[in-house]
Amino acid sequence: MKLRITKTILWLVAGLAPAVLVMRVIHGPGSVTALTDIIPWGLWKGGGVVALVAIGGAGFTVAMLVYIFNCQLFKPVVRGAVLLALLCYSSVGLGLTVDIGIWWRIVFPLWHWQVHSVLFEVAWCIMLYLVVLSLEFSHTVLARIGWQRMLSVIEKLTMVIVIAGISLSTLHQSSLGTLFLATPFRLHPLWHTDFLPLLFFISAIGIGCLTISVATLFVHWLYEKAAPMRAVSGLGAISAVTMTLYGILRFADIIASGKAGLLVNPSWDAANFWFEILLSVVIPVALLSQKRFRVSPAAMFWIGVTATVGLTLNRVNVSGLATLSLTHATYIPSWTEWAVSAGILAAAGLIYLFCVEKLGLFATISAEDVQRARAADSLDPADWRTTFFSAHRHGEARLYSLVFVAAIAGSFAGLSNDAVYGVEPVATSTSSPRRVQVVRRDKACSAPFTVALRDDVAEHSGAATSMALMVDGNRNGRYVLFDHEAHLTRVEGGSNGCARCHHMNKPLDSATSCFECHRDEYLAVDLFDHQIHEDHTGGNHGCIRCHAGAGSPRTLANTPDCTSCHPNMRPANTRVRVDDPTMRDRPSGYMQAMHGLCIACHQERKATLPAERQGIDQCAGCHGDLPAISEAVWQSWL
Amino acid sequence: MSVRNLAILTDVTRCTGCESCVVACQQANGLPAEKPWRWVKQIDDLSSARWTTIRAVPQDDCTRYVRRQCRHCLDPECVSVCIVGALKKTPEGPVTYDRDICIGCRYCLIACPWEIPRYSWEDTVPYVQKCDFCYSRVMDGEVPACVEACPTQATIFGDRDELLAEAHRRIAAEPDKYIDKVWGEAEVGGTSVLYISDVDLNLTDLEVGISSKEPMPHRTTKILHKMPTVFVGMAALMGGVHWVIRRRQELMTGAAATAETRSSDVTTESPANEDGSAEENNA
Repeated sequence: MKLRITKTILWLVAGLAPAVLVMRVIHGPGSVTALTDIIPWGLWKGGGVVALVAIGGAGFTVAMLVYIFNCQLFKPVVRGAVLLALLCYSSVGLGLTVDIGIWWRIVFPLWHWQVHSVLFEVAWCIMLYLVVLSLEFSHTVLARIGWQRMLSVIEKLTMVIVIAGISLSTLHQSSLGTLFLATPFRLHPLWHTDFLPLLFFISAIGIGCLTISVATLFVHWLYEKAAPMRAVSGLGAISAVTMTLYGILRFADIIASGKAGLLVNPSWDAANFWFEILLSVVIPVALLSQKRFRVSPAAMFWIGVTATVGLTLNRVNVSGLATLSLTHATYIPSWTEWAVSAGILAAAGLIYLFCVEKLGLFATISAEDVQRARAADSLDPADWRTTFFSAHRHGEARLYSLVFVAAIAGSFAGLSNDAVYGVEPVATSTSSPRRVQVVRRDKACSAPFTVALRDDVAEHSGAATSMALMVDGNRNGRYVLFDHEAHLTRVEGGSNGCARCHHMNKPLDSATSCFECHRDEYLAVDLFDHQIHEDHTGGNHGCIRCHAGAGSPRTLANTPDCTSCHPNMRPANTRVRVDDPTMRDRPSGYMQAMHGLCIACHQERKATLPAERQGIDQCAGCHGDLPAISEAVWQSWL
Repeated sequence: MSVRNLAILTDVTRCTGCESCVVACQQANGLPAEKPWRWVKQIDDLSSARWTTIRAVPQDDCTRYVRRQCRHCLDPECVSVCIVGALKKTPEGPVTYDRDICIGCRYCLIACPWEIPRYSWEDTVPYVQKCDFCYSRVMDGEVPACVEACPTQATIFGDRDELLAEAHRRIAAEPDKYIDKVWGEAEVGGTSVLYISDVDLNLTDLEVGISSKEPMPHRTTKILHKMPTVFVGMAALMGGVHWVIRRRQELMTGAAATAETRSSDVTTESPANEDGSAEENNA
């Protein structure tokens, strides 16, 4: 039963990924990730590549123990370790393909060579190591299907393959650390050290021993067989030594480079560091050094899980989490990122179980054991669930298909609008200008004539004050002071002059504020009220009054400009220009509207103004950016 | 124009923050309209639609305006890390980007010490977006669009050595006004975009100041150059260890076959034994 539950969960999780992957291909990586320009490497790189390669370190570690050191003790787990590595690296390849911006160019490093790039070296090593792992694993497959001639060729090449695999692993495990030597200004000093390559390599060996232990123990638990505990205990002992060495190196480096103070300085990073060390070094080493824990399957399993989580955290820290404090950025992976990473791993898990069942991955788990474990015995034979999901020989397939399809449907339903329709800009609603008291002052370097004042300063200054509008549509604290009174006298047309700026007013409103139509700071908005037009033109019969041609589609593209019916919508003498015909009378963004209205006038007036006012058509002429002015500064101006 | 080492010098004291350079850059490079994407913290910061921007630095007397753009380092880290060589340091100085081979790994984004490259996340097929020094314009003998647009000559264009001399000349002429430093002269091995200023410039958001004069790529290449040795060394070590262990085990078990082991070539020697044990185990 637990086998069936495990597989059901794996199928469920695997089903979360496809919908996201489809949308990632259609709308690009920005639509399904929370990545930014400041944190451009996220879960897919840190977890799905950097951490997973370390977890796959099991392959070369066990191959080294068995083939180089000729330790027959570890023979029972070597096939499992090779497959674990193969699946990890395949997941890395797939994850990387998904992560890079232009996924079909994943093969470009094959012929576009840039030998000074660490990433280039890593990419080649991983590609070659995938070939090596496939060859190593082909032994298992060939033995199963009985192709003796091929098998003997592979066996003759065993040592070459194994040594190539170890050398390639040495290179790329350490080079993943070298990758982050390039980011000294982003990565927190507790993690950034010139020893990163060495630390990555050593910890990959230590963690590799434990990940294959976890996989072996879990699989044997699933199929209710005794795990080869001598091998697992041995791996535990090797891991304890390696992780001790790793811990000593880590601290020695931190202390030697004078960063010990950071260890005790209370900060988020220090807490993160100690948590990581606790999980990856302290707990595993403390427990693994005791034989009673090494011989216990349950203890070994949980120690392995703890250490794997800890070391995954280490890789995630180096590749992103420990860069947040120095970059002042935040990044929380979207659920779609989690879904893809978890989905790929779940699919890998299913393939692993398939190989356990069909290829005899572990000599200790025979075909009969598999049959026994797969028989769902705890369900009532008369129950409909048994009938549908178990009785028939396709029962299991039905169950997993159902779960998988349900997961795909569920993840589709949970996709964000950005993922489904493509990413849309964020709306920034605008608000009315505030009225503030200002005092006039000629100032050479910034806004030439007005400065906002605190009330108390204005009262005591004795200077001439007036009220101005603080134009700050998006309320971000950066504003333009607009002297409305002064502009009233400058605008031509007397009492009719209002319309030159207030070009469209709501009914019964003589001067509607800008923000009421230009409702977004940056984006054009649609103010058109279709319902009102429908009511006025007689419901369904009125469609053709705007949408030309009875058979044509009822779209905006197929509709005349509003001004064809409302010729007076914009007064003839307005300063407003509509430069962009695609706007179709939609109010532009607030910022564009303000600039469009002000700048043309200011440029015209520039010629009539004295030399000291020639800055009137420049940004700084209006954008003074002087939020609060202290009394001392004010006094110095008098 | 036969200038070999092109550079831009920005005199912060002359910049009025008018953003003419920004508009000129956007027009010259055909950049799209700026939009408040959720990853754009501030719309007037560098983004895929804004390759150069003006950062206002409020001071007690009046605000300074500092233009941010690609620094076109003399030994650029982005070029060094690029996996396919899409970013290139041209002999004339500009760091250019070839969008036809970029795979979108975004290593340049995390490696740039100045946090300059941006990514067009909004596109289905996104590309790296950064100032390319108007490379095609300057190759045609024109000046970069931003320099051409500057109404106050706060940003000027020319040969790097001449601009450095000009920068030092200005500092020497008004030592009370300027801080005695040319930003970009030595940091990370020097950059092609230089600044002089009367206030301290902190051009990146990063707290750790970029004071090292060592070019960034040295940090990784010194390790990378050891890699062939590591590869061969590891292979030799593994082969040697295997041979020694195998030999010792054979001697210990006193196998008669040891006498025939003439060759030390592990690759041909070992699989025979390996097969035997593997077969036994599988059986």
